[in-house]
Amino acid sequence: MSTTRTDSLVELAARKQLPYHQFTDVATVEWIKANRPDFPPAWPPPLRPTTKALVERAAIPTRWLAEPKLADSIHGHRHGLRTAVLAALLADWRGWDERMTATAVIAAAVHDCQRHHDRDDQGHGARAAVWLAANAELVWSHFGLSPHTRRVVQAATAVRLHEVPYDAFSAVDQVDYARASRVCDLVKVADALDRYRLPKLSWWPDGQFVREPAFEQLKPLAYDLVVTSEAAFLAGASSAEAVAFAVAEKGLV
Amino acid sequence: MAVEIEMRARFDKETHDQLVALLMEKAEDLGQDDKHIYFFVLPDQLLKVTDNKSAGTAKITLKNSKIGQGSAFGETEFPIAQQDVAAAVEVFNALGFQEAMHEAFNFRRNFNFKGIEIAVKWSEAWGYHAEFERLLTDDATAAAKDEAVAEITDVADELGVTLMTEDELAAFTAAFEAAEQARKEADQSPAEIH
Repeated sequence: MSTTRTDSLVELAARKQLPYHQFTDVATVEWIKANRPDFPPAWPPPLRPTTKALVERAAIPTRWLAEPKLADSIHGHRHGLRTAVLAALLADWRGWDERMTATAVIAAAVHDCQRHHDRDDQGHGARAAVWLAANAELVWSHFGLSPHTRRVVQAATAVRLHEVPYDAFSAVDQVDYARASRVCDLVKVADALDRYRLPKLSWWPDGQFVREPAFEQLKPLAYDLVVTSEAAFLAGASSAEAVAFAVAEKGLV
Repeated sequence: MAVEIEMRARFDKETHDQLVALLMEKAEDLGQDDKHIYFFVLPDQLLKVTDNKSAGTAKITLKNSKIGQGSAFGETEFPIAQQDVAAAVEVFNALGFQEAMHEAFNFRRNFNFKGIEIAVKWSEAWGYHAEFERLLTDDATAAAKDEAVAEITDVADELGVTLMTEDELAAFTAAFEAAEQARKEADQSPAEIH
C-alpha cells in the first residue's frame, strides 16, 4: 500500500511530504471542519442577475488545463470555480460594471489552468496569462461574451501576477500592475480566500498578503464554500456540481 | 411492470429548508440517498443507470414515459452491482444512445409521509426540488391512479409545496434538453492554442 494513497493531505503536509498531485480526502475535510475559525457574523452576499449568469458559466472544460490530472486536485476545477464565485461576490460588493466584473471572474476562473502540479509551480501564472491572451476568443465566448483587447490585457495581467506577492513585484510587474490594479487586487483576494482548502492552518487566508478592507467579512463565506463543496465532491458529485451545490446552499443564486 | 405515480416541485433554498424541517418533524426519515444517474432520453422512454452512492447499490430502470408526459410511469427495474455501472453505461453508449445520454449527481434525502415517498433533492439542472411518489401494481385501475394523484396533491398542500403542472414539467425538461444539447455542441468548439 503506497504512502500517498493512504495518508491524508493533512498528515502529508505536516511531514512536508505533499505529492505533486494533491487530492483531498475525508480526513482532510474533517480536519478543516474541526478547525473552523471563530468567525464574526457572515456577510450576506446577494449576486446580481448578470453576475449569476457569469458564475453559472465559470466551470471551464478540462481540456483547457495544461495537466488534466489536476482537474479534481486542490488547484483544479473546484478551486477555480470557488475563486470565480468569490471574485464575482467581490465585484458585486464593489459595484463594478458588468464588463469589469466579467474580466475579474474570467481571470479568476482560469488563473491556475496552466499549472503542471500542485506544489510550488513557479511561472504557472505567466503561462496561464500567455494562454489566456492566445485563447481570448475561446474563453470569452465560453462566458457568452466578446473579448476586448483592454479587458484581455487586464485579465491576463491579473492571472500573471496572482502568484507574485506585492512585495516581490519587479519594475515590469509594477508597470503592468498599474494598468490593471483593481482586477489584480480582486483576483488575489479571491484566490487567497480559497486557501481554507489547504491542509495546514498556517496556509489559510491571511489578510496581510492582500489589499481588501472587507477581507475578514468574506472569510466565513469562503470557509463554508470550501467545506460544503469539498464534502459534496467526496460524496460523489463532480467538481462543478460540488461548487454549484455549495453556491446554492449559501443562497448565492 | 409496476406503475409509479410521480409528481414534482421545484423551489428555492428557503422553501427547501422549511420543507426539510417540517418533514424531519412530521415524517419518517428514510435517510440520505445520494445518486449519480446516467439518463438516456429516448423518444418516448427514459432509460437510467443509477449509482446509489449512499446505499452502495446500483440499478437499471426503464420508464415508459418521459417527464412532462403524465404522472403515471410504467417502470421496469433491476439491480446491478455498483462496480458494473461504468460497464452498463458503456454498453448503452455503444448501442447508439450516447447522443441521448446526460448525467447528474443528486443530493437526496427520502421521507415517508402518509404513505407517500417524498425525495427532497438538489441537482445542478433542477436546483432544489422534491419528488412525491406512490407505487402501484401494474393492474392498478384508472380510479386507483387518480386516487394516488389526489393523495399526493393533498400531502403537498399540507406541506405547503406547490406541485408543477404537466405543462410546467414539459417546458422545463424541454428547456433543459435544449441547453444540454447546446452545451454538447459547445464542447465541439475548436481546441485552444498552446
